[in-house]
Amino acid sequence: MNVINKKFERELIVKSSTDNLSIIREFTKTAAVESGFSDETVGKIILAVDEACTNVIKHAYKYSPEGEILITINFENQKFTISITDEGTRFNPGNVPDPDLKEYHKQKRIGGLGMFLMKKLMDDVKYINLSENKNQVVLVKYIS
Amino acid sequence: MQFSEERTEKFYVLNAGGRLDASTSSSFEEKLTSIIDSGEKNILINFKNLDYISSMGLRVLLQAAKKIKSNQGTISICDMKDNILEVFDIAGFTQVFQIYKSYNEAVS
Repeated sequence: MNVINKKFERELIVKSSTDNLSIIREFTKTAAVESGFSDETVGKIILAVDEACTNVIKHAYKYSPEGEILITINFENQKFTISITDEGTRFNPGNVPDPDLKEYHKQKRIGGLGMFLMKKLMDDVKYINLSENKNQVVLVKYIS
Repeated sequence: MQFSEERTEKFYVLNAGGRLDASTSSSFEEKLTSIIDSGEKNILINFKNLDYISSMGLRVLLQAAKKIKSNQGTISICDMKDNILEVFDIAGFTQVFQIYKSYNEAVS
């Protein structure tokens, strides 16, 4: 198989329950391993996807397990893209500043850490409002 | 998650294993809070059997550190797997907690 030209797309739909995070991580892991990432990078991608979905469950669906999360993974041209779509409360990332870690720990602030980790773990993180009630987070990692 | 507790000369030890994410962080929080509320001042969390941690677990640790500091206590952590230590490193948590490579190093 020609690894360079490898491409695939797959999707997973789960309810917005924290119990489903392990299913989401397993789904992400399988795709990331198949794409050829190192074990270390696979771990980073899994954590970033977990953080994004945890934010959806907490903030978009406010812990209601009845919402739906659609996770699409696309791998093409060495680019691994995970799109996470929800139909919950719109999220405005502009309201959440990057924590200044020194200040963060000094003040013992608790929030914003998930978003900070996602940015550190991935090559690109984007928030898109698809429609009035559809929000999407797009995470990208390149095979280096 | 799986928990067990023990007392050594230096520490009250909480062994926490499994996966620490949004679905398990509240049980970890309850466990840790009850130990702090019982008046323990030197707590060692042994993460030898912890396979995974997300920011939800980190938040619990940070809240617990804040709580125990007001009691003049400390939380130390030992035996983290490389992937867990890396998350600590990225989040800057290696500077917040006393971290020991191994359980033996911590209790000796």
